[in-house]
Amino acid sequence: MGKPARDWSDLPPEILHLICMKLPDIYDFTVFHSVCKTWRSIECDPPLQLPWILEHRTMCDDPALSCYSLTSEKIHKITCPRSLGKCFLGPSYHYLLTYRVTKAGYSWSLLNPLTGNEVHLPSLEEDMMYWVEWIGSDKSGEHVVFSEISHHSRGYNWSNTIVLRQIGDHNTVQFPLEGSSGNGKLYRNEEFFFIDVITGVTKVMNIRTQKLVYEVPPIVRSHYDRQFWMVESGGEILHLSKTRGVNLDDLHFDIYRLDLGSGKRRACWVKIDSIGDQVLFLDEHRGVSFCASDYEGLGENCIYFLAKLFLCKYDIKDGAAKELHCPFVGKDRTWFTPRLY
Amino acid sequence: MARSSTENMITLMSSDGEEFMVTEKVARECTTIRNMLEDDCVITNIPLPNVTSDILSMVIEYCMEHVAAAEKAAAETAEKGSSSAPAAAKANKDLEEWDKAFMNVDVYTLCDLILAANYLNVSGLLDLTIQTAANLIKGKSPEQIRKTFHIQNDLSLEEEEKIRSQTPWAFEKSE
Repeated sequence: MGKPARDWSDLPPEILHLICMKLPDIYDFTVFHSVCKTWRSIECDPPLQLPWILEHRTMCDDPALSCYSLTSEKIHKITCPRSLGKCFLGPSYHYLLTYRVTKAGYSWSLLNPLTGNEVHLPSLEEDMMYWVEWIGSDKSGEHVVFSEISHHSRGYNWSNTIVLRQIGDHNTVQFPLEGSSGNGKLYRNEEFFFIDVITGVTKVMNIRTQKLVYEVPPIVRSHYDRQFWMVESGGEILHLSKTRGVNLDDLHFDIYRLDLGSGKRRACWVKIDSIGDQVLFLDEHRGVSFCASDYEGLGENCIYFLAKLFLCKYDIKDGAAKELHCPFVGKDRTWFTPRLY
Repeated sequence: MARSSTENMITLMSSDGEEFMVTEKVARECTTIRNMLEDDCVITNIPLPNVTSDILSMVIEYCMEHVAAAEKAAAETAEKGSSSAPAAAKANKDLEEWDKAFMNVDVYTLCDLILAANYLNVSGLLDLTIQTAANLIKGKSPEQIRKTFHIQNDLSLEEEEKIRSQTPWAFEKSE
C-alpha cells in the first residue's frame, strides 16, 4: 500500500501560520479560516491588502459585487445583502458611498461590503439634486468628504459644494467652493485641496473655518485638456496629470510634489521624476499610494492606472506602460481597498 | 556527478532504514544537519527518524540541484572575473523552472515535503513548498479547498453559521 495519508488539518500551527502569511489577499485569508477547526484557530494578522478593482454595478437588485484581485488574478464575488437597492457612488476608504431613492428623498450611507457594516449619513437639504464628483476620506477613515455639483430643482442654479461628514456622529458640514473645481482633489488634516479649473491655481481650504488657507501657483494655465489627480504619497502631496484620452503608447504622467515653502518663500509645485519606493493606484477619479516594499512582487516607482479603456502598469522611470489583464470592461471601474473591520 | 576524493561524504538514514550518501556540501543545505556537523565534526552517519526514504530522496535531489546551480554560478564568476548579468538571469530562470517542475507533486507528497523541509530546516525548500500550498488555496471556496487537500469539514453547525453570517461571500467561489 502507498504512503500514509497525511492530514493537512493536522499540520503544526507554525506551518499553517506560514501558509496563511503567504495569502496576501483578504479573500483567501478569510476563506483559509473557514476550512476546518485547526485552520480556523490559526492566529495571523490580516494581510496588508492592496486594492481590488470594483466592477461598476448597474443593477441595484443584485446583492453580489464583482471585485478583481490583481494579487490572485481572480474575480471575487462579494455578496452583501445590505447593498440591495443601493447605488454606489464610489469608494471612500474601505467603505462605499451609497445612496437610495426614498419617498423622503435621498438616503445616504457608507457601506463596508465585506462586513455588511453600514453607517447611515444624515440627509442633505431638501429640494436639491446632487451628483457627486469626487469622494475622499482622511487616512483615519473618520471623515468622509465629498464635493458635489448640486442643482436647485426650482431655481436652476448650479453650485459646487463640498460636504464633510464625520462618521459616528451626525455632523455635516457643507459649504460652497470658492472657484470652479475640476477633477483632482485631496483631503488631509482638515485641509481640502482642489485645483481651480479656470486659473489652474491650487486652493487649500480649512474645512473647520471654511476659509482659504493658501494658494499654490498653477503649473499650467489651462486644465481643461488635462486630467489630474492629487494623491498623498509617502508623506508628500503629489500632483499628477496627463493629457486627456490618450492611447496606452502615448501615456505620460507629469508628476509634481507640493513644496509648502517656508518664511517668505511661497508654496509651489516642484517637478519630480521619481516617487521613490511608493506605488500608486489611480483610476479616473482618485489615487491611493502604497509602500512597494510591503508587498511582494509589486514594482516600486510605478503607477497602476485604471483608465476608461485599459488597465496598465506605468513605470515612472522610463515612462513605459504595460497593459495588464482586467476582466471588467467599461468606465467607472474603481480601485477599492477592502478591510475586514 | 564527479566529486573530488577530498570531499567528505555523509550518510543520511531515513526512518525506514534506507541510507543516502551525500557530499557534506549537499548535507549542509539542511541547517539542522549543518548544526549537527558544527557541533560534532567527526559525525558521518546521521539518522533522520522523521523522514521517509522517498521524501528524503526528494529533499536530497532539491539540495543537489541548488548546490550545483550555486557552484556553476561561482565557477563562471571565477572564470570571467565577474558573472554576466544575462547569464545569471538565465541561470536563475532555469532554476525557477526546475523548482516549478519539482513541485509537480500530489498534496500528500507536498505535505510530507513541507514537514521534512521544516524539520531539516531547508529554508529554500520550505519557502517553495509553502508558496505552492498557498497557491493551491488562492481563489478557492472553503469546500474546494477541503476537496483539494482532502480535509474533513469538522466545523460545528454553530461555527459555520457564525462564519456565514459574518462573511457570507467567503462561501462563494471565485472565477
